[in-house]
Amino acid sequence: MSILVDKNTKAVIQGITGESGQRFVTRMIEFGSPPVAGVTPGKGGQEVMGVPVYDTVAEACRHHPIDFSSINVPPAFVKDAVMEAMDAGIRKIFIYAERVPLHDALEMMDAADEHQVTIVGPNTPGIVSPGKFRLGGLGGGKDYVREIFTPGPVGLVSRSGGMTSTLGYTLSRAGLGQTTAFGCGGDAIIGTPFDRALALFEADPDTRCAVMFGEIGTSYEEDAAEMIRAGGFSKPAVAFIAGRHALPGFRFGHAGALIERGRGTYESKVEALRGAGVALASTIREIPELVKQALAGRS
Amino acid sequence: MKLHEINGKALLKRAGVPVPAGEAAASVEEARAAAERVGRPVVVKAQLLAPGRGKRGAIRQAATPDEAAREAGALLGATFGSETCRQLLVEERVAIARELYAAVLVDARRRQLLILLAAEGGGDIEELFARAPERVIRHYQRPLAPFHPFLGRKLARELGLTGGEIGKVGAVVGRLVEAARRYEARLVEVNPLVITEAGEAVAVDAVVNLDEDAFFRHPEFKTLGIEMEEERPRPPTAREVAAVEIDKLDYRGVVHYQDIDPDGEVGVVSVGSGFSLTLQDILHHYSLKPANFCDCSGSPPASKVYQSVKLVFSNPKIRGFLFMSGVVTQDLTVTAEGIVQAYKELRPAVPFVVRLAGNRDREAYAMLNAGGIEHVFRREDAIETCVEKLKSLMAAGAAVSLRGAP
Repeated sequence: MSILVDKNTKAVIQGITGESGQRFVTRMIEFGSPPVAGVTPGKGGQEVMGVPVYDTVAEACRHHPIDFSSINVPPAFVKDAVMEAMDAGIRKIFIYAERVPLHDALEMMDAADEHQVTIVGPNTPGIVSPGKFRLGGLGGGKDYVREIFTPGPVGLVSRSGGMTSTLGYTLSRAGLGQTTAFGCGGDAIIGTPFDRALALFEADPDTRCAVMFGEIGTSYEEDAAEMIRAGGFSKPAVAFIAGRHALPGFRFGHAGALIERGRGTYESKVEALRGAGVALASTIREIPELVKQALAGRS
Repeated sequence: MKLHEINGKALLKRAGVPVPAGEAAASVEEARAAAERVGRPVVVKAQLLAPGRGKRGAIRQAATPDEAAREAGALLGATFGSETCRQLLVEERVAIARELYAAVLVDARRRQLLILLAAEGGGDIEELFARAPERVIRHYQRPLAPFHPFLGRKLARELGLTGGEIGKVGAVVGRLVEAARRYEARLVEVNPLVITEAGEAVAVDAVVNLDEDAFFRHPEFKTLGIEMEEERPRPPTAREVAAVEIDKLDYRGVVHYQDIDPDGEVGVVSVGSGFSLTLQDILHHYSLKPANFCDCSGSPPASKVYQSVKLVFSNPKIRGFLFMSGVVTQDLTVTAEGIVQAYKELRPAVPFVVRLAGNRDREAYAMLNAGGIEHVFRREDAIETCVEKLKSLMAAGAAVSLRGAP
């Protein structure tokens, strides 16, 4: 199995006639997992590389059995597009754009939680379930993606889009394929941070180990540690946290420091994850070794 | 983006939060005139971003316009930490009965607005939070739900307020929620929120932190004199300024350059922010000191790559150079073209190591080799292998120069 996307996924691309929308279509067709429909208001009736375009998501859903929407519109229009997808009954939503306004993100995430909708992103290049489905362009051209992401037992989730491919390739080279690999997004507020990603991997019987790429800032890594300690994830996990030597900048304001107290730094993330039994890598090369040890230890 | 008090108060005032009468002043004369117009004893406040102004002598009392002018003269141009005082707020002195704390912020973890209130304002709220967190009242507000007026009164009552204070403070809390939403702030903080001797609730200080990503839809900021500024822990270096110009040369791709360590010896250009951050850590892991951070990514044209490499080499301290990507989707033949052009022009005397991986990387390796670059690493080579190679080349180079010394 896999998480988020699989062979049966039926995806619509909102913003299909735009630059990133068209690129998604190209990449998904060449992977063998084309979207079933696209939406651009005012362009209903057109086609993008053979994929039919509708004016509204509701119309697309009337003509196709859609269960996933990829939002490929500029940041200012993301919230509206997400609301439209939810209104049409779609329960899994992916957001490509980066730097979505914070209050928009807040509002759509709250609405998503209320309607039990899973959002991935904003600020992520895609999701790949190797051998099954690719949403977006993660892994690049067709000659590369099959070498970068291969089927196997690792669940891979990364705050950095670029590092998703880098780690996928590092694991695949070591013979460690993936159930699903995805960028969970680099924005401050994201729909599926590590704790939620781990819950999805926990429920997937084929995932036997999770690999997380985290970064300094926010407290998503600490949240994952809490979730693991509370028994939410019973499988082994390996993490790399980037930014240990990053140049410190201004803090964003001291009330922010109040709620983030003691969180967000490299040290706090590493300490929390170690405390939860997660193996921490200090180089990228160590990651496949730690995964192999974890898999051997549990089998 | 954190605003100076004067701009933060301007936004709060527009949202209906009572603030003391006051004016901006950038000179001694303006400060005197402002104090005259206020017509009562004033407070002269240096406009600084760092907290703790009171303790640092950046807030002065003045009973008369002459005193205000004198204090303004002392504050303007004075430095406080890394900041220089360029502007003052000359504001009516408020008769304080008691000081509270109030804040509204975006809680990214809970995906809610968080309202914080404390009956012990004015001092170090972080200290209070550490010592007695139970004395800070928290209320999570759903982002799309209305903040009903009763909620403000309920919170004020929880704070232990009585009589007319309940309505006054409750209303201010509602206005702060309104301000946070209307101006799309990460944080709106009032410390202290003063109850005056006349029983009014007034925001005597204000910290507003705006979301840069929402600036585009707030033309009112510009009319209020609020401009988007990049926050930096120090003024930009000459190379950082040059990098901004390089980035503007072409709309394609981004160049994000930062000088890291004046004693750093490794010049770096890398592709992608997460990868660039990782590479810095790996260099440190091998006890190599990066001189800079330079993320050159997002499918930049060859000219941007070329300029980025040249910029890194403009640092005379560089004793080794690394151009590196993880697995990327950009066309690496374009990247290679820029690297080769810079290499041919620079003819570097220090080790020059390149590792590329991703779209059209095989063709890129051929271009790099044809360009005369000796140390070209491939997709199959681990990041650490390349860093180890650079380290050994730098050690060998140091040995050679030692032997060559008279």
